[in-house]
Amino acid sequence: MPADPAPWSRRRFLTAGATVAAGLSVAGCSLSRGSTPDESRVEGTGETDWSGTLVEPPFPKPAVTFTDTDGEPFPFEERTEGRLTLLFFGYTNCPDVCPVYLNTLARAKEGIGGGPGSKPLVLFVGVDTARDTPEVMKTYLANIDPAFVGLTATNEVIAEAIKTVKGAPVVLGEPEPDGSYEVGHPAQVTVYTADGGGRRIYPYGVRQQDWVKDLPRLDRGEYK
Amino acid sequence: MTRPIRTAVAALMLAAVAMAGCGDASPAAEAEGTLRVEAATVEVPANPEQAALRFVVDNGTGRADRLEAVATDRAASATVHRSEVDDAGRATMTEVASLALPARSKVTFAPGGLHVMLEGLVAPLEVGDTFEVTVTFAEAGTHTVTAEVIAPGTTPGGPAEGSADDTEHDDHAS
Repeated sequence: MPADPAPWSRRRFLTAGATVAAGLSVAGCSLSRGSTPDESRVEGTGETDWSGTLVEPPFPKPAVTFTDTDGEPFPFEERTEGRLTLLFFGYTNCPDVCPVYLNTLARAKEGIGGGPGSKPLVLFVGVDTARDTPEVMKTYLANIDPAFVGLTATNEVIAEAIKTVKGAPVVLGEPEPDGSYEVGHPAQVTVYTADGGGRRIYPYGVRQQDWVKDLPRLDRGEYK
Repeated sequence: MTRPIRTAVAALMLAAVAMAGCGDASPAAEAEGTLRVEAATVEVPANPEQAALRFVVDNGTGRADRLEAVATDRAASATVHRSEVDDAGRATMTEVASLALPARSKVTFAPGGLHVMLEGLVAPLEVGDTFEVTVTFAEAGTHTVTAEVIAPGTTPGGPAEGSADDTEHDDHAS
């Protein structure tokens, strides 16, 4: 595969596969071009030392209520108020991309150790609503980082939440003869700073050391 | 030193193959290298039912091959999948029923790309466990490799290190 021509794809969040890199750079471009002037823009990072992409103006928080792994309501705006919050949509029958995202974050937290950025509120929304039950989500996250919060909701609530971060809509495919089916989910982590703004999105492939660099700054309210 | 002789032998064998009408495979070239499956690892999974097995297939032979099947007695099924991010920024996984392995190439299974999806794990995987995996190729037959269970997030070539395309051709690599 030839070198990717998109300038910002040369940055440090280059991915685990050239195919993925190409997909992401196309995704980034289409996000930018798809925005109308009065909507949030997702922009390349230029020559800054930040990973991911800046969102200006910031994404609002989704005005929805999820269900946590204890089966209790989780009103998003209320429960994330004043906290550095990382929002990711995935599914528990995902053996590759989802655990890579989440383990990278868990290890970044360990790398930061203490102080700013060491205790982000990491929210994992299960989009495979038939299989991502609160119990399954709890087991899944306990094996990665018990501090991560698993959330479930109806397909409609999930779609609404994804729309607020301009994520790719979820795809749940038709079941194969063996009962398996395709699940497509947005390949991005959205970061909300404590003031409530969805300031940056991080595509697949962001490395642990990049999170170690960005999370403390984000926790201090810096985002660019 | 042996190159002229080898070339001569190859030429003879090529001629023989051509006469036999056996297509473009070159037994002489194949004899120069071997296909190997290396560095098989599986991370302790988050979902106790399934895990991602990864390895490197080094097709050092002079003929293209295909990975047709993977099996282990530690899981009810083992199927090759590739994770991708589509143009809309959506992560998906597609089954790869038959994986192309070009001649003299190395194909690396890595996070966010190729992996063997193990479903229906028969027992929990613990760090340090090892188990046998058989990998069947169209040309090279069945190879057995020992997979090691490693800690979450420690697969080489993950976002911690970054990596290139799945397939590395020998002429580019060296």
